This record gives sequence, structure tokens and C-alpha cells, in this order.
Amino acid sequence: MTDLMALSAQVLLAPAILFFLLGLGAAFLKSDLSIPEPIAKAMAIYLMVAIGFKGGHEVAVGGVSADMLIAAGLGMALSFAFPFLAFALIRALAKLDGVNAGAIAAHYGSISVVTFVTALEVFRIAGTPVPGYMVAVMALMETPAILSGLWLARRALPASAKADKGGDHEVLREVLFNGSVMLLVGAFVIAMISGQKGYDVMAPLIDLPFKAVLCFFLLDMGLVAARQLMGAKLLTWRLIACALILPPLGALLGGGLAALAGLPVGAVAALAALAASASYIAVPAAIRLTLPQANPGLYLTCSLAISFPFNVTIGLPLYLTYARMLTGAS
Amino acid sequence: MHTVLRRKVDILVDQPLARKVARILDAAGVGGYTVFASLGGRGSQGSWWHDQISDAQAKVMITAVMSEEKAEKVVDALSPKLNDYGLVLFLADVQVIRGERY
Repeated sequence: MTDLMALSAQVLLAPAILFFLLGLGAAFLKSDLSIPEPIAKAMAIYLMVAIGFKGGHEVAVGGVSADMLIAAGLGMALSFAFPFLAFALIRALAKLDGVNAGAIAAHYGSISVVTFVTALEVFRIAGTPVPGYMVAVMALMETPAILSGLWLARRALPASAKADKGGDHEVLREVLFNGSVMLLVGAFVIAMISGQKGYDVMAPLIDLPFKAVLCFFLLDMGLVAARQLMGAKLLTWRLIACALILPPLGALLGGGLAALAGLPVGAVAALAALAASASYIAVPAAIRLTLPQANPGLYLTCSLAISFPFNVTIGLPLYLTYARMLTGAS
Repeated sequence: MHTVLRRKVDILVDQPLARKVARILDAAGVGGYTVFASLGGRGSQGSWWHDQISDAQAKVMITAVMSEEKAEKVVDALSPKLNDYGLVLFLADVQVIRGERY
């Protein structure tokens, strides 16, 4: 318990988290502080290229291991299956209709790149580095949840709305080739192909500046998350409870399965964090297009305004402590 | 100055769905339209601002000028989607100079 308290204090005092809290506070105080949207998007692109490339480089140096394949299989299975559990919980606890419950479930099965990047940084500071291949696992976990969430939601659609699917090829394109998957996988593969020479080219931009850019980006995320929460009209206490229960539930499953499979502590903690995180960039855009009947005010508020702040401030130290307990690491 | 009466159709739509609305305009034979970015606003589901990191709630305004007949086709195609898509649809009479273009 004292370990957890010390770890939580350490996490909350990391500059990235402090900047996030600054963003939250500024928005709650109605400050006019805002980061222009194109700059925030450019930072998101930078962060994805940087972690994709660093992960690919680590795998290029260390080689493909059995651990990597196990983690990839577990991650994809979790992403696909977790929406079913989330759907049942949201239906039962928040009493939402099937369409909105399916849409929210897709977000919780999928992952948040920013939560993962923050976890990498926080776990590294706490002395538990995450293996590079987890970046590839994250990219693989992004999309299966969209398919199962869509399937769940569409069963609840009235027959008249089912005709307006917008073509299943459009859904597949949106799901498989969405920008963040392209960037992450692309940078990962480029790092593996270009080897040490490629890393030497990229390192000055993606190595040291990375942590500072993450701070800027989390400042913006704090602003965006708080403004989403303040603009929300449709939140109920039951839905807020769902958005607070789903992340630890995901972590419990993800971390537990990873430990059972014998993965190292860094990978167990990372898979717990990935399973806990909920998408708020890639999945909302895909769901808005493929499932227009679902209300973005519900799914975006849950994942962005409640689960994300919970994960980065309270969740990450919990998940790391849990991973250490499971693997017997200190 | 000789002017002709045409219909102006303004459609406020979430950015991810703008492509679908554009397809409906194409299907109605509307030759041209313009997409405007928006900064933010407030509606029945709360307020929204364009500085969000996700485009899911970013809204754009699509403006097109067309004949009465085409406007009817567009309105018929969009009406069933007003609730699902969260659309705002305005119609107005406008005077144009080169009527054959619309």
C-alpha cells in the first residue's frame, strides 16, 4: 500500500501529468488558453511516428520473440472480446439503448495512443520499462473492437436505418486504414527496414524532444477533456460509473491474461494499461461515419472526459502495481 | 439587371458525415457546393468547439444553390437522416444572375 502511495505521488509529479492537470485546471477556470487545433494534430502525428519508430527499432535490434507474438494475440483477442463485456455492463448499469451502448463499447475495446504513450513514460520513470514490441501490439488492438462494437450496435438498429450502412467496404476502409494505424504501423515497419542508419537519422527528432512534446500535448488534452466534460449535457451518474468501472476492469483482464501467459512485468503493465484505455481520436471518427445514429456526446464524453483523466492520473500507478504483484517483480 | 430565383440550401453536418451529404448532392444533380469550417456552437446535445482533437464532433456547413426541383430531391433524401445525422438544414430563396448554372 505504501508502495502504491509512493508510486502515485511519483506519477502525479511527473511533468507530463502536471501539464495535463494544468490543462484541466485552466479549462475549469474558464481560461482562454487554447492550443490551435492544427498544432495539436501535428503533435499527435509526431508522437505516433516517434513511438512507432522507436518500437520498430527495438524489435529490429532485439528480434521477433515468442513474447511479442503472444502479446499480439492476447491484445487482438481482448480488443475483439472486451466490447461484449462492456456492452453488457453499459446496458445493465447505465440503461442505455443498444446503439449507444455498442458505440461506447467499441471505444473501450479499442485503445488510446496518448494513454499508452503516457504509460510508457510513467512506467519508465518508475523503473519498469515497457518492451518495444508493445507498440505493435497497441496498433493491432486499435481496430478489432470497432468491428465487434459495430456488430453489437447494428443489431439494435431499426430495419429502416440498417439500409443506410454507407457500404461495408467504406466501414472496412475506415477501420483498417485509419490514419493512426497507418502512421504507427508505417513508422514501425520503416524502423525495422532502415535499421541503425534509419534510427540515427530520426533519433535527434524523436528521442530527446519526445518527452517535452508529450508535455505540450497533454496540456492540450487536459483542456480538451475538461471542455468536453463541461459541454456535456447527457451524462448520468450511471454512465459516469460505467466510465470509471470499465478501465480497471479492462486492466484486470489484460494484466491477468498477460501474466498467465508469462509475459515480463513491463509487458503485463502495458497490456493492462492498453486494455484499460479507451479511444477518443480514431474510434469516434470511425463510429460517427459508420454509425451516425449513436450520439457522439455520449461516447466522446465517456472516453475522453472521464476514463482518460482517470487512467493517466489514478489508473496508471494502479496498473503498474497490479502488474508487479502478478509477476512478483518489485 | 436580370436575375432568376433559385434555392439556397445550407446543411450543417458533422465533418465525418460531410462526404455522405456530398454524395446526396451529387445524386440530386447539384453541380457545385462549398464546404465551410466552423469554430463552434451550441445545440440540443450541448456545446462543441472546433479545437477538439477528434474530428467526430467538428461541424462543417455545406452551402449549395440549385433549382427548386433539385432542392426538393435533396430535402427528400436528407429528411429521414435529420435526427440520425444530427443535421441542421436551412432553405432560402436567392436571386442569381446566371440561372443556367444552377
